[in-house]
Amino acid sequence: MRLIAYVFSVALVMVAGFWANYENVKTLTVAQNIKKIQGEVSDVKETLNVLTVEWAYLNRPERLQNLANLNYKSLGLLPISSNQMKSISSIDFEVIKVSLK
Amino acid sequence: MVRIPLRPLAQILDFRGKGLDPDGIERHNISQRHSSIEDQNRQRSESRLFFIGLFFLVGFSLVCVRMTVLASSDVAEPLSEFSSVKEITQRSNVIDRNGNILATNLFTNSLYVNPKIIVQPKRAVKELVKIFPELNESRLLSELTSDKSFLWLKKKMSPEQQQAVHEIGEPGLLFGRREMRVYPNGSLASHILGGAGFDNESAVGADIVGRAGVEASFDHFLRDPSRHGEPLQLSIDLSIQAVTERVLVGGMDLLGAKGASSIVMDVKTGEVISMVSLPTFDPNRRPSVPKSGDPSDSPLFNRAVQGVYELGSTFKIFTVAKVLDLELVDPETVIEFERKMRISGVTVRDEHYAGPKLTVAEIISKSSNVGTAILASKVGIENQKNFLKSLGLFRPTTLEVAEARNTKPLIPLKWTDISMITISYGYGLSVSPLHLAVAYSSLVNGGYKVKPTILKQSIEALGPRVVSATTSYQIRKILRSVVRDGTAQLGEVQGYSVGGKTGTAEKQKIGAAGYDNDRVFSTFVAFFPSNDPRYVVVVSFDEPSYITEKERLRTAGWTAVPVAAEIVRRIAPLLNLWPTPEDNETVQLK
Repeated sequence: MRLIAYVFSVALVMVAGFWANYENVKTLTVAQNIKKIQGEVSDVKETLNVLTVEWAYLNRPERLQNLANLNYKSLGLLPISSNQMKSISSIDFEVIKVSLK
Repeated sequence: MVRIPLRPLAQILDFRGKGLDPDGIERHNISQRHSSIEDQNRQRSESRLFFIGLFFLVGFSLVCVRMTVLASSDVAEPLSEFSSVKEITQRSNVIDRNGNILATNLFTNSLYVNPKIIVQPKRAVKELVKIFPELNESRLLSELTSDKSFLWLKKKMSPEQQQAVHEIGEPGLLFGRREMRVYPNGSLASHILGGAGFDNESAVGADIVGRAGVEASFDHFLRDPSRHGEPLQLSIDLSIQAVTERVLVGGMDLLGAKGASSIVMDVKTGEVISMVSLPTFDPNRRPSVPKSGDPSDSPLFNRAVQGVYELGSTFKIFTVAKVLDLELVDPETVIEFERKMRISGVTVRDEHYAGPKLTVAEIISKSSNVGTAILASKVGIENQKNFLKSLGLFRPTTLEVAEARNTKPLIPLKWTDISMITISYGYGLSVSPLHLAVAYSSLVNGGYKVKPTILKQSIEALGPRVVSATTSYQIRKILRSVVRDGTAQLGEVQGYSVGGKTGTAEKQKIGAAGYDNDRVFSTFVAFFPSNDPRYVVVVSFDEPSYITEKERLRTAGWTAVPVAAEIVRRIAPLLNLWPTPEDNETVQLK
């Protein structure tokens, strides 16, 4: 009886040890992986930051104004003025209907 | 330990004398000895059991505590605290009211040299000068051949320059990674942002610190790591800032002015929507502070908040506001006066006499010094002083831009009758254009004091009352008449009713007493829409002149007013203000 108990407990300790080691290796692998992903995330974040700065730089009002000036004639642009603003109700939709027919 | 003999002779003799069996003594003593040994063993086992129990109790308690801590702690990503991840968190971004980036960070590299491990100093210097032409070749060579072990070359450089330095292949040229501040919009809003520089520089990095503007006043806030890079949102609107700056630059060139400034302010929240000071600078390459000469000549000088000027006739409305608020007169009360009069012992004259009879409203729309002086004498020294103080004209403004907090208005040491009269039409008290914007906002918004702010607000922030609602209404009507048929007729904007007041102040002579009528500071304060004001615009020019075929015009009506009108014309649609309909025509689609 005692022998069985001994054999059983030794086997239990071995199984538990194997399981613990297995979990440990798994955790280390995951941790390594996370470290890699975090590195990638920070690289992507840095790229994103550079792109955001570039976007802000390319959309700076001065450049947009210069682009508008370049294409002033070809796009038929006009300076903003109050008489370009009308309410929707003032649009003559009958004309649109007629022209669509 | 004293051992009791099993067969003590005295007892045996005693027993034998009595005829008893002396063996019984031995048995008795043996059993006593055994029982004492058993007692000892039990005690030892008990204490062992106790310690084992204690050990397990402590062990299990530790496990329990750890499990509780794990169960109650926040879920966190493992490894993040000891990973070698590089994050851009050193300084928060600054964004405008719509989320456009005004200031952000970029990684860059500094370049430093260890002259001791330089292999070919001559070649290295030759190649370096090709990449950075601003370096001095002979000085650099003497430094690279010295016995120093550390030398800064560049604090920041572009990736292209870094690659070129790499390609020199010199082991003594070393890079240090660091962050730098970037202002993608260049010189736009430069006086608001201020600029930043490096501090605590080392080969492994450097701190970015604010040098001026919001970068300096919010330095602590921007560097606070507990905010996790949450941006600082300003009340500035990038588009409106760009438009006002563009119009102002055009105006300044046309008028040949020394400098110019403009402020657009929300009259109910005190938010500064745009603030421009010309000449300007690029905060990415912030010039150094001048060590000598007039600081206002430097482009770093913020004319809108740092410059204090006598603002002339724009002050007249304060006198009229107080006299209306005291109900001493109403806008239609007729005042009689001559071209030149002595009032409270001071001689006052009108450049453009429109008398002899003007209503209170006409005194403002025709901008009469004599008429205003008469009204000031009705208000009195104490009332005038307290009123100007309540409008915030005696103290630095509370705008969160470093320079604004240090700008004190120049007020007379002794407030005499002369001060009362001259201040009534804007001489003898110097304030910044921002002070004027705050005071006008408070007068036209229904009469509540506003606190200027550079941070985006979500609710109206009206302070204590400065004038009654009726007075505020009367002031709006009077100021509207200045644009409709007074000194600011060029200020009319189609679709929007604009009110305002001009001011042309002669500047004090340099190195002499008195005023110079060739050099003026002209200002126009506009607000719109005049029936329910939303925004105040202050435009001022330092020494402008508009040259026509016949004459040279310097008054605000010809200089600041048309520029302010152009600003209103362009920004009103951007501010989502609907033009007042002038006709009911329908739109014909092509």
